[in-house]
Amino acid sequence: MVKKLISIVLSLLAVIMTIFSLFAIVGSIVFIFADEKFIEAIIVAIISFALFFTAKSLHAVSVRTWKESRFIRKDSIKVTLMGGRGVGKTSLLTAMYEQFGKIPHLNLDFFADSSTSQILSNCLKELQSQIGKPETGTLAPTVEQRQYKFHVGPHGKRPIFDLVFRDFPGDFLEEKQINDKIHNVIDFIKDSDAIVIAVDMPALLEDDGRWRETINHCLLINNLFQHGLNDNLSNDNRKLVLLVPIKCEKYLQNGQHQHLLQSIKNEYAGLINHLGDAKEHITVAVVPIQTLGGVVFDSIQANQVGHGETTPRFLYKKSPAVQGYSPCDTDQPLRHILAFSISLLAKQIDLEPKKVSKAFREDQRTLYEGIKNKNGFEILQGQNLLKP
Amino acid sequence: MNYKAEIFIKSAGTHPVQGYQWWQIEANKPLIANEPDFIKELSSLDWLDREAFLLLILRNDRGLHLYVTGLATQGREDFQGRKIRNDLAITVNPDQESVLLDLVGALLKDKEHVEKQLDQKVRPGKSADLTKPGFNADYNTIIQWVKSFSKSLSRIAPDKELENGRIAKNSEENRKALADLLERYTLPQQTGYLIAVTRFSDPAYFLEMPHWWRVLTDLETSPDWRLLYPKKSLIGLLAKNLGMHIGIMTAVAILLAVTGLKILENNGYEASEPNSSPSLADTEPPPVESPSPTKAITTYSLSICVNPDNPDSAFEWTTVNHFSKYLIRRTSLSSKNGKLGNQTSAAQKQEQN
Repeated sequence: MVKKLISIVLSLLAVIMTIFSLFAIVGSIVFIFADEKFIEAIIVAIISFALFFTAKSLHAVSVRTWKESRFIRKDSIKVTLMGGRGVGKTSLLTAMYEQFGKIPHLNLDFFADSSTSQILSNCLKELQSQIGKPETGTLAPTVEQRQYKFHVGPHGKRPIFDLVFRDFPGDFLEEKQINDKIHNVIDFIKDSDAIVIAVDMPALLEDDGRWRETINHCLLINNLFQHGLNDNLSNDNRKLVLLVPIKCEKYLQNGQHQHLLQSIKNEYAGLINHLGDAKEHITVAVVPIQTLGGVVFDSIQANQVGHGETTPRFLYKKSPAVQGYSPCDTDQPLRHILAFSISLLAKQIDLEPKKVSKAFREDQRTLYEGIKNKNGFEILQGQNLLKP
Repeated sequence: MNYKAEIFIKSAGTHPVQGYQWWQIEANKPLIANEPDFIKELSSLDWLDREAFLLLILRNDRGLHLYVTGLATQGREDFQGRKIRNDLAITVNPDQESVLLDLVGALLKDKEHVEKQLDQKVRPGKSADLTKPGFNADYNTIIQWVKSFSKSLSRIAPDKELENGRIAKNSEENRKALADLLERYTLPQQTGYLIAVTRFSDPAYFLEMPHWWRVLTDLETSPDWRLLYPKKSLIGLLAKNLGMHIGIMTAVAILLAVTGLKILENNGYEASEPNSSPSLADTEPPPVESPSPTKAITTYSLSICVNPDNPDSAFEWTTVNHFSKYLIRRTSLSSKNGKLGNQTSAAQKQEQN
């Protein structure tokens, strides 16, 4: 409302200035032909041009403010990485980081801020070195909440928006801490534009699913979404929810795509059904990725800690089918996030110069065309929010 | 002196449910899940890299706080085979600053040695009770360990020059220099964050907060200690906004010039009247009775612009004529009639030729 008022005031000012400018031009002509006062005529002409260009600028600002009043301007897209402790949230982010700038035929540039690029470059080195020591499935744990920032804009131009990834410790979802942290987690869900749920597939599928709740917290995540996104279902607050199976090399390399997809749908049925009420403005997709390619799940070693309680230890080995560091489909979550971001910011991107807005539209098309929707991948709802 | 401190450790156990959490260690009591208040307040500093090694000192009304993260352990791994780490938080009274500074000095000079010693004090838990933290630690043992670094040095307060906040690249040399400084001087008395030794924290963010005394970060480019908060001199401020100042001065100059011209015009020049526009019949310059110099020039120049041989050029001539008229008018006003008669006669001669 305030923006609309400002826009109207600016528009009126522009009209007044245009009228003054016209008067000034007439005055200038009178000075030349009637009074023959040339200096005065030149001064008045300069004033008239100044008035005219000010009026023109005011008009442009007024139009922009009017258009902006129809949406809330966003300077950043917030992406939250969710998942239990050790499922591989940071590995997922690192795998996506590697894909920044690698997706072909994009007009967009990505600039990580200095701390983001240093931290993720180190994580990438660590991830790549895991091929040599496959017994560990993920990177060093994330102990504190952390933020990674990327600036996104067309080649050689100023960034249009920031992509902010928030990696929060999986420990927040643990029973001992959830009571303290529940508001943090719910706020994360409410406040995010995109939520990426990392799912540890061996924990979900192996050992008859014994560890799926302990590690993936599927039921807890379903409940948290029901609390966090309750308001979103009734209003047009658009969101992207990605279910990203990780450490799924074993299943995908064995062709168990359908089994993997079905397991995710079953375990997160509560979440999927809940979000099903908002098909028009919440996109949900299953996007399995292979962060290493050359490492597959091997077995779970159970260690006794007394009184019948055991501690699992997930073991990994080199893949018989894929050699070395060969990540696969790690661009897919990024394609979803970027295509969704462009869709979400469409109105403000349209206010950019035509060349820039056209570049973004082209990129959205390129990103969308590369999104997979079969062989374990599925856009469950809200495909319209990814389309150009 | 009876040394008392609040001690907190953040670490994890082997089981998936024994995640990283803060535990307060108290004398003769089991560990209590409790996050120190000053660390809760750190959540707003999400730019501060706490995943790698971080050493932070904070002074507030509750005392002096030391926070150390990313201390490696030996032989403790989680269910994914990842090494478990220890984070340490100690709060002391201000009068026990020296003990804290001795520990900080040891950490800066030989971190591996200190973290190995702490690892020996924080052992993996053997309890099957998964509500327990997954490790054990004893208050008295940790206090004794902290005191073992005490050197009983006498420190003096930093002078004005030393009190200035400084930042440098996080190198071994600079860490040693900081440790040496802390052996000779006490911390500044102001409250707030005082010292940070960190890996991937952007130096720009430190500037946004006051009172940092010494900062070392891997992302700082300067290998030497530089002032964190550069002094704002008047010349610096002027230089910073040079473009704006030039713009304002130019605008003022133009305004003054135009106003000046206007004043001169009102005082010394009576504009030619509109009905004095010449007709084609007026080919001869009218006689100048009262030799008002400007009037003479005006009359003469108008005779040029109505040249009957080339009527198409009238407008162009008029423009040139008026402009030259204006210039001559300025000259004539400044010379107060002195040379005007000569100029007029010269122009008349030119016309006759």
